[in-house]
Amino acid sequence: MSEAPRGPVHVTAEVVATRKAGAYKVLTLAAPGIPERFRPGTFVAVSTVEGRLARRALWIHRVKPTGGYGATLEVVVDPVGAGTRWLAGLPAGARLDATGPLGRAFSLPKQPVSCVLVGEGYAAAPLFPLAERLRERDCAVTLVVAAADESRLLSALEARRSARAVTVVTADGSVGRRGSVADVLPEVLGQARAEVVYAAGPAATLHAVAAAAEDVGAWSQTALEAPMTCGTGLCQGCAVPVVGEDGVGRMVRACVDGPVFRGDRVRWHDLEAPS
Amino acid sequence: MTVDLAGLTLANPVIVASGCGGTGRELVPFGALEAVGAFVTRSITVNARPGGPVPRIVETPSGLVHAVGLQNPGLDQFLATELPWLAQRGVRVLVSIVGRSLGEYAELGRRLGRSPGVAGIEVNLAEPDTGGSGVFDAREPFQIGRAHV
Repeated sequence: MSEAPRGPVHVTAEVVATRKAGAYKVLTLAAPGIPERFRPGTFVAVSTVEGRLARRALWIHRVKPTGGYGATLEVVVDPVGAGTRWLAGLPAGARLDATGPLGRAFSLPKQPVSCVLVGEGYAAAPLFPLAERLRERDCAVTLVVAAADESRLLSALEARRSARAVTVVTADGSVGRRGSVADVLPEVLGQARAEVVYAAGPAATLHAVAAAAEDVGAWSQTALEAPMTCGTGLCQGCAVPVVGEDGVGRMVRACVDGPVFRGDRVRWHDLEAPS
Repeated sequence: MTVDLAGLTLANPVIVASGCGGTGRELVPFGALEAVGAFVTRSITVNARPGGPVPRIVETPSGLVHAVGLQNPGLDQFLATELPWLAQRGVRVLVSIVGRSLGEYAELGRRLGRSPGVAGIEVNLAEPDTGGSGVFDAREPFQIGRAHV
């Protein structure tokens, strides 16, 4: 078995294509070295407009091993602030600094078990490549995709191709069921007889997922969406309170110790309402 | 390119400032740590500190505003893990220290001063105690002078 290249690389990426996906913008980047190292759950940190120092951490949505530009990767941008609006406005041909893939990826089960994947908003991006990897291992994949409204629902059509069963939830009821992840998850976990739950999204949603998984005795792996200023672990800006294997509480970093954490290790109450 | 810094000879004048290089390990995937003239650690305290709540770093149009809260593993853990790792890399190490009292500055200085692998000590006096972080209030020149003695 050949050894895959490891460790992140720092490269100048070129935007080779852009497309709108509801409220989001999907950028296809030619970034040599990053697609080859990608595993679902990892992310890429990119620079933004001149004068802005913080990097933006973007989930890697998809990688394509071949194409006119060689291997490419897709990232999903939610244009909510100065940096992400600048990114969303980039035309094909633009260049930007990119570092990746960064962070710890989702762990894959060795046995073909029943997996439920839960994604909210643009954070659902890494779940699609994860679903592919799980299906290669003969795992039964059930997807829950959630969002505030239809425009923020990522790849609902693609979800139906990636999974055995799909549940769509929107807060305003514009498509699928009205409500939140917490409302539908106990039922979905029961129907799927879930043994592992993978989730990506904001802390409150992940907390609900971790609690629901605990209730049915399933493992949970949660990919935390948090601002990561450097993405490499040195700035200590993305602190996450956890309980270690030794039962002792400590602060770890979302970017290098995560973004994927075991749901039962995160002190969710401390994360959601810091003192 | 060698420079003399208060009697300390550095291979070149590039020094990684305190906090900007994390523990040093984070820089390794992107370049050789031993290529810099010296590496200044994040500020070390006698006892471990968990740091403050998030958000810790906020971007502004003119830079970053940060309040990490001196997160560090404490002196014992630093001497047991982070310092040996840095020393093995062959990089000149300057240890940044911050204390809650003059006694703590003295203890940090004494124990680090006799630790192999420490090329020098940087005294962090830029941490005003307005946030209740419990560090020695060194805003007055008089007190800064006392901490240096």
